[in-house]
Amino acid sequence: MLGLLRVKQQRLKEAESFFQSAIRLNPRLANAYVNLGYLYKQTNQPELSLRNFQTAATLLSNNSEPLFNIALLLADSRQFDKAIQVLEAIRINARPDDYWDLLSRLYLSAGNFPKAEDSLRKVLARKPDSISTLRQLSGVALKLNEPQRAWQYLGDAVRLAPNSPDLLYEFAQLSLRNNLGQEAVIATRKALFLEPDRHDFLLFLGNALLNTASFHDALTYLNQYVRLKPDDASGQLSLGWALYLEKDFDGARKHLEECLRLSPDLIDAYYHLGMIAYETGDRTHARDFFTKVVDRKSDHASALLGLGMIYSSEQQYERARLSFEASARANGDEPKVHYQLAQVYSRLGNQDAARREQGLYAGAQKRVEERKKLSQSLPFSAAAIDRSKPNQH
Amino acid sequence: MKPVFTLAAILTAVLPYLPPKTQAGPEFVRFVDVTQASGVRFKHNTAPEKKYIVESMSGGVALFDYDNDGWLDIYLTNSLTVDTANDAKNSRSALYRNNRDGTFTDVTDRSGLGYPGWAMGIATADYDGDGWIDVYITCLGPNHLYHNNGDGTFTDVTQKAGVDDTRWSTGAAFGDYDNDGNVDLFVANYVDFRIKDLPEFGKGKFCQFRGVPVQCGPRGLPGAGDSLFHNNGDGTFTEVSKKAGVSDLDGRFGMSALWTDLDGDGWMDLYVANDSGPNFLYKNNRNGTFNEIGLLSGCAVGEDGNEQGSMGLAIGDYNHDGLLDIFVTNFSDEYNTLYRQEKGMFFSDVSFASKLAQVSIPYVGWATDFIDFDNDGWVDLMVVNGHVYPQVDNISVGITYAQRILLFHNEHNGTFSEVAANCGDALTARRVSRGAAFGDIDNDGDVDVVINNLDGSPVVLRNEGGNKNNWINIKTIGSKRNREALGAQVTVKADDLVQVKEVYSGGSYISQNDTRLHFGLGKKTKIDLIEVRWPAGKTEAFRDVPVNQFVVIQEGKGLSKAITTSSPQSNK
Repeated sequence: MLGLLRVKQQRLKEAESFFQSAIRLNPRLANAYVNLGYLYKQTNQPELSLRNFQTAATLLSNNSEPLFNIALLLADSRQFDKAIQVLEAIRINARPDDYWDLLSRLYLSAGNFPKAEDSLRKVLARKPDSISTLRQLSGVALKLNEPQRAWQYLGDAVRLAPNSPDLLYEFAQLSLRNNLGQEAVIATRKALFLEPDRHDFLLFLGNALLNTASFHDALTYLNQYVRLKPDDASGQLSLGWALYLEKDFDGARKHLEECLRLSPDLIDAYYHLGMIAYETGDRTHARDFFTKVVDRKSDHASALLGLGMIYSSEQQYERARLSFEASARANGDEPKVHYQLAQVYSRLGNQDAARREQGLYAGAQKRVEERKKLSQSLPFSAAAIDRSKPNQH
Repeated sequence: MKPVFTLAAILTAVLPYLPPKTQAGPEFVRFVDVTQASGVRFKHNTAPEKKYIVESMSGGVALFDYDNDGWLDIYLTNSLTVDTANDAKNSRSALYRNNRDGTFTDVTDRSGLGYPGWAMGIATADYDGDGWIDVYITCLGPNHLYHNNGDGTFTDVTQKAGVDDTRWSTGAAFGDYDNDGNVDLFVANYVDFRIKDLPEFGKGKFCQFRGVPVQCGPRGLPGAGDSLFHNNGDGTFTEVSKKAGVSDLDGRFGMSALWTDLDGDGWMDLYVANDSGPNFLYKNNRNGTFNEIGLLSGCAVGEDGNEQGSMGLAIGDYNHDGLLDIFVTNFSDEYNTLYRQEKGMFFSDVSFASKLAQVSIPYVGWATDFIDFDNDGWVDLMVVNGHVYPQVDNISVGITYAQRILLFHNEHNGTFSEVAANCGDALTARRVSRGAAFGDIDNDGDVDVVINNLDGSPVVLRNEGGNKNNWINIKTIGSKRNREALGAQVTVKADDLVQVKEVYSGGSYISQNDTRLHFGLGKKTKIDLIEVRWPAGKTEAFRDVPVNQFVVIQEGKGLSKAITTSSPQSNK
């Protein structure tokens, strides 16, 4: 008791002496080891702390406290696997409230994202209204390259906090990642309504509107953004593209060239200039721009596709094939590249490959349809997710 | 955030609704609206709000000579509405007889063609080879085959012939796919639509357009398969679509169809334009079956692989390379697609290169045909337009509900110029058009047009000035029961001008064009050669044929003059 009193008084040296005296009197006094463990932890002596918690753990087989602290200390020293082993050794009925929370963090630190998601879902089962848990789950799903599931988790969070601008913005970003442009637009509009001065919301809303083919609407926001941030190359890029889609080629060129002046490495501007040339029938310049993009980023799927289409229109099918194949390697989920490959293989007489690509095209188209269907059901009703479904890793 | 947009976005870009630019073109041609003077008083029935997709799709037209007097008569289909669907008598389709003086007389009641139900489209053919053109009308609900009795009346023989299809049928086309001398019948079906189970207006993603509630479909609704009826040669047909491989198991939204021998092997292939999905090209295997090769041959979707909402269909050799090319009209935000045929039955989408695509993006395109409206010897293109959502007029998206006609003049170099504004006010008036049939209704040597419009009257457009260039009009008659010689390929050579055309049933958009083949000849004063490849494969040639005349070529019996006098409207 005296030792604990000294700890409260921050007279730590004296406290240490009292605890050690108690142990000398009774070497099986587990609480004294626990107290020493905390004391050494507080005084930044992790090895001594660990040793005392370990001793306590051997004496207190029904108490999870020493093990929990051992796990924390091991985690602090980046021994995540050992820490997880220690935590998992805690009996089910002895697990503290934040057990799953800690375990999920350890799994995250250890890079075991499926286990982290499992643990977080257990946290969520106890605290179903925890926005931070839903956000973590969303992040974990992204780590698992499951953007659709990430979007669903974040949708649940938005349902719980529908007036949080940042949450809405995150949801919008994830919506766009899932090609759910309409949802992105709705969420960003709401975020912008709540915080009208956020430049990043303006730019994002403009881009989301472009994604939904609402080019004219997008111009309003992108013009506003560029007026506020004229030196931001990404704003110039988006505005240039929006103007192109509205067929204002001169205006589009002006902003795309300004984008390149501000940021010569923003190669999407070259790509967009290439598309302007392509559609205006200037295949020579289109080829130059696409080549510039590919020279700088050899896996730029869209520029490779554009190059392939130019070669294909010139009946240079072998060169077209190489471009399309490279584009498919960069983005295999794009239906049009598989369509083009089917065309080229067919013309080159490779019917087996043509049919294979036709199948890939059909599959990619189907996924596009599925995304549309997903979007169909729920702007802002991601709560419809069935949490009882097991994860599929 | 990187806005990654590829060709798809470009091709779906929305253009502001700009007035047509003035282009150099055949300024001596005018299309004049002669509807009032013609006596055609038809009005198409539609529900004004178009709350259901079925209320937006009707409006077929046929130009055919039902009484064998050598002059084209007009048939216009009419539809019901969801509210009036309980009684077929609530809507009257109409047959107008050509009086040969620029006017028409309504002969519907006597003909018996007035009440087929919720009528969509029409295809004509002399299915029994008796020398009189019969009529097949597609409907929401049972279709109808009307046998021409040869006395101005028709008899509904649907059940006896076995060509009923109770689904929602749209385009139909007759053609002899197995070369047995009898014309068979293909019927495209659209949506599996039930009046008793209506999709709720504006509810759901596929019932929105730019955020505004609109009618649902076709996406989101179940599709319907297609039918192929084999003509048994005894007045009856047998449904063989599954056996033949053209039943459309995936249930695409079929719209327009044409039988055509694309690879010149003497066997009819089949092209089907589908809404909101890949189009079909069925290659004839010469054994009663077909292989669908649309995607692999490059004529199923847009150049970037995007599925399009295809409506109307035309086939012709626009670039004089002897190969038939395909033109498809599509939904707004897409573009009308020209597939140029290359060797080996491959196609390239040359819509942008030919300058047909750019101007078409804000329009919903329907009926179309390769017509040589100025008789310069190169086929041009006309497209009639009109949106499906009246609600677009309430939002500012650069698209209107009523839309003008697009007329593309062939520049003889692989490109077209849009010249509607130069060819008469009748072309720039906005309408909600659907079907149209193309043919020389006044027998004056140039191609006229009849258009069926929703929310209004049809339009009869008379071509004035097209016949300032020379021409020839050829009617083919087959030796077997395929009396119109559907599928015959006719090549006309005049000096360095070489043109190929085929005799079609169906096409356009749910409509029937004049089956006589009209060739413009520019300033050529003599035809060196007319070569006919008959459906059964036999070829006949006729040399040194004078220009500016209507001729009949009968298989095995030679060429004869058909009509030597022009109508009173001749304006040459």
